[in-house]
Amino acid sequence: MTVASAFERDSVGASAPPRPAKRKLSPWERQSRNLTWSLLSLPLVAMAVLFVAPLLVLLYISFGGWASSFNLAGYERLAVPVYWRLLWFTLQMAVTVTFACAVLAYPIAYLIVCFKGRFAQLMALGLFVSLWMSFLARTFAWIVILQRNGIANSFMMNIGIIDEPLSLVYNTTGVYIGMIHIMLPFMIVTLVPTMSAIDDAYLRAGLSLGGRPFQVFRQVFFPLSMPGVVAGSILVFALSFGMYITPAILGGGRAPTIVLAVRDQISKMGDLQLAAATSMVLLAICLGILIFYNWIVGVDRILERDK
Amino acid sequence: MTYKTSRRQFLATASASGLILGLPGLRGARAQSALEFPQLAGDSEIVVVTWGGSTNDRFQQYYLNDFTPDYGISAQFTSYPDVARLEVMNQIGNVEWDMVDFEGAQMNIASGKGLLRPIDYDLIHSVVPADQLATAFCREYGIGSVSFSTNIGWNSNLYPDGGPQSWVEFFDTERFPGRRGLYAQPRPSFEIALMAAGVPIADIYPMDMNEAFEALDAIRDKVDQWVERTSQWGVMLQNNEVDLAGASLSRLVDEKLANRGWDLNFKQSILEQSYWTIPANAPNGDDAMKVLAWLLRAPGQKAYAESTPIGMTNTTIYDDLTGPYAPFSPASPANTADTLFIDDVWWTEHQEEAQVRWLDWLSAS
Repeated sequence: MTVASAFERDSVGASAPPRPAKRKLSPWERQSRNLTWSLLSLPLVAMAVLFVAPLLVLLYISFGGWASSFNLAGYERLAVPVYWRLLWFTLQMAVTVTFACAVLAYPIAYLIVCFKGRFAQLMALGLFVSLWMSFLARTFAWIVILQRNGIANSFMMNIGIIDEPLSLVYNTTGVYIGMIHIMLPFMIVTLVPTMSAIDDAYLRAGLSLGGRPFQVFRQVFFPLSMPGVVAGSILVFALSFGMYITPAILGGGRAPTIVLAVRDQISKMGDLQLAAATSMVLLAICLGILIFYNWIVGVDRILERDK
Repeated sequence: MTYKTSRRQFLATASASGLILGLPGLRGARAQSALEFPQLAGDSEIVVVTWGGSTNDRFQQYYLNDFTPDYGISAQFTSYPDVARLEVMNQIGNVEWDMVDFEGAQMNIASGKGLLRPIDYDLIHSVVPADQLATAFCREYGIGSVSFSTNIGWNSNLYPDGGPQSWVEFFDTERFPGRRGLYAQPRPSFEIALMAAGVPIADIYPMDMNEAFEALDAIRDKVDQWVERTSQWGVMLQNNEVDLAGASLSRLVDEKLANRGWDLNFKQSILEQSYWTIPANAPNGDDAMKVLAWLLRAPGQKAYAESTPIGMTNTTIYDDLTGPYAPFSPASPANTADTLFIDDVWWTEHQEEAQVRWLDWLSAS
């Protein structure tokens, strides 16, 4: 069976041996195909109207839109160093936050999955409560904790670790702390279902075949949980890339992101074409990175390897 | 038999309900004839676009509560004023906004794109005499909504002998050692930097952007906090994250009145005017114009100005302001002796270059 399917996969190539000719579909197959399409039609229309159409409108605006004829002015005006510097900072931040979230979220999700019952429920509850609260409220909460006379600095000064308050907020340190805290739940809620879906039988089999617990974790559990890590990283990366409130407030003006520039383009300059062009470039870069990432450690490859 | 009764019942019900339905109309008609300004009567719910927060409550309380019942126009509020959005609405032919609280430069950009409707001064002046309104804030496409002030504030525990009397003194680190905070925006940071370089108020405009950035370079290391949003000032002042602040007047006054160790003055204060505008294709633009005429009357403007330290366009209110905020009213003659008024025309012309260069300057640090 597996050999056959592998053969079939290979045979899709250019000069493949003749595939089984298009045979007539049985009535049942035709019906099931029709049903699939009719069930898919509504979500497809919704996707087109809600997601694809606005993007196309934005693309249209970035080339001049209704206001003028087709032109590249929006993209030409992006070619100033400041936008690339902001973009570079934003990318750097998004990658760091994603990586830190993956590292921090993994053990937390693992605990939630392993400790069933009351303890796991409490942990999950804490997680969701923090997801329900607004970004802005949590961002300001970090200021209260991290500022010069804040809880963190007072505590460390009282126990004598430091003499002078540390600059924990209104700089990139503060941005990273705040961003990781806000993004962490997204990573965990993506990881937990993947981890709980891993069948205990695999782990028991690994143990009974003589694997040491760590070995079983590394060779069985970890690879099986990778799709969750990949999905979580994509989610967190995309969210961090577009986040501007938290970096703007916790960064104290020292961590301007590219999204901040888009905000200025829209609200201060009223320049929709430039903003649309910037957004299109961001979208292209973000998509490029995600496709590349998926290609390196993609879900498809992991699933394929298991077959 | 049953048919007859039911018909009689039906007729009775019909006439009774007719009476009930007719009543409001009658009442409305009677009220309208007795209105002080019959030209302001209308019947729609206008959409007012504001910067949100308590502004909407104040608008409702001071401008509409005694207007809507008699004149029939009510309002719903939405955020935020945004030229680009108005432009898109206009292009797709579906303008949803009737009245927008634009910054001066936004107003100029919007009117330059043909998105705004000229103010009907015949209607306005038929309700509020022209000599009651500050002429500088009566523009072709907008009338002053509120003006915001940026003031010098200081930690009064740290500097008990008084704070800086100018922006030059504000940056004097020997006389005033401590941490400083400013807005993370080119406006009014350009103006502040130039005043800190010793340029007198009268000579600030037209600004030379290169000079402004040189002046900013000179104060860069003395600014410890760049503040992105007005809402940040509260937490920053209360926790002494900064000791000297070029901050929002209303936040400074809140701290001072609550005795939390902050003081302020109006030396070289910076006043920025916002404007009520009406979009060119506003669905209820006529009614918005009527609301605009009504809200410029002294009673509402006075009550508004007594509720928060903010400048109003009707100048007759400043003679007898009362309440805790009265001494801090930023546009009052007493407080504008040494004030820089933001030149929105300069900013309209230079907004784009200023924003891009500002981000460049700030992110290079």
